[in-house]
Amino acid sequence: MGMFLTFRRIAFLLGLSLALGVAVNQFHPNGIRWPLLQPRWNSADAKAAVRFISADSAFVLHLQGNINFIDVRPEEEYQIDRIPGAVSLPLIKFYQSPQMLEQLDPGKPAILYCFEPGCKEVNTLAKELAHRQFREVLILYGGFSEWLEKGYPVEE
Amino acid sequence: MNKAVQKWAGISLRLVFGGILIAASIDKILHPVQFSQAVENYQLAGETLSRWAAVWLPYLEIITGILLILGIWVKAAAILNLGMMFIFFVAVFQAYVRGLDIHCGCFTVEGDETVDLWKILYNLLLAIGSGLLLMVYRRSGRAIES
Repeated sequence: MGMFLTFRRIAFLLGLSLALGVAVNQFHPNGIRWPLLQPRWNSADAKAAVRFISADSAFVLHLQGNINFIDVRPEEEYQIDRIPGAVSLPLIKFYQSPQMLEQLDPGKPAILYCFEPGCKEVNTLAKELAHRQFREVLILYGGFSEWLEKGYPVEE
Repeated sequence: MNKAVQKWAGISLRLVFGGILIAASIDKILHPVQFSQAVENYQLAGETLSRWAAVWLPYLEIITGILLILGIWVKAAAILNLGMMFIFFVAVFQAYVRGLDIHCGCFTVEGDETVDLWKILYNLLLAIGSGLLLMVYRRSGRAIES
């Protein structure tokens, strides 16, 4: 009897904390929005490959136009300088409002970058884009620092 | 074990673990996005599951912590506490063994709190302490002192 009561209490506490967590998260200004909590059952087939791209190749694509540059650095850094035409989308902003992706055309290739090579935020966001009908998802391998080193144009 | 020793060991362990759980939950509750990144960095669960863990875990911690401090439903809270501490130990241990260079995300979601040998030892001690707490309160759901 005592054992059963303890397990019922544990189950209640697990449920209570989950309900509380979901409820608070819903109204939390920095909460994780619902689309990002939904499991992606059907998206396995739609998944695009995420590839790396050098600053040189990215610059060629930039000259040809028709590309989404996505700046994943904090917004303050984006305000200072950025690749011309880039959209600011730090990971934290994406979690708070995933619908921001709607301003981008998924038909165009997306090139994501942060400042340093190999930052985790870029990888996470790239995976999200690949699951959301983006045809081509590319990561600027050397980051914005390589773009600057090569002397490619920046917008201030 | 002597009754008085057991009583005071029980109270101290309850207060220590209750305090640890509450302290650990605050920063996670304030920064769910950063915490979900910290969970994901352990590479134990996929993105979606890590996010659910980030939504759920801080509240399980704070509720369990409050119950431990107040001495309500102590046995249930002690079992949950042991479960969490065990999972934290496994998470930190596997991260170290796999050589993941990650931020711990234990008490704060950002900062210089990395996963190293000390962290593993600390988590092992916490898991052992949680086991002791449960042993003290294994017979009753009420606090012994009440």
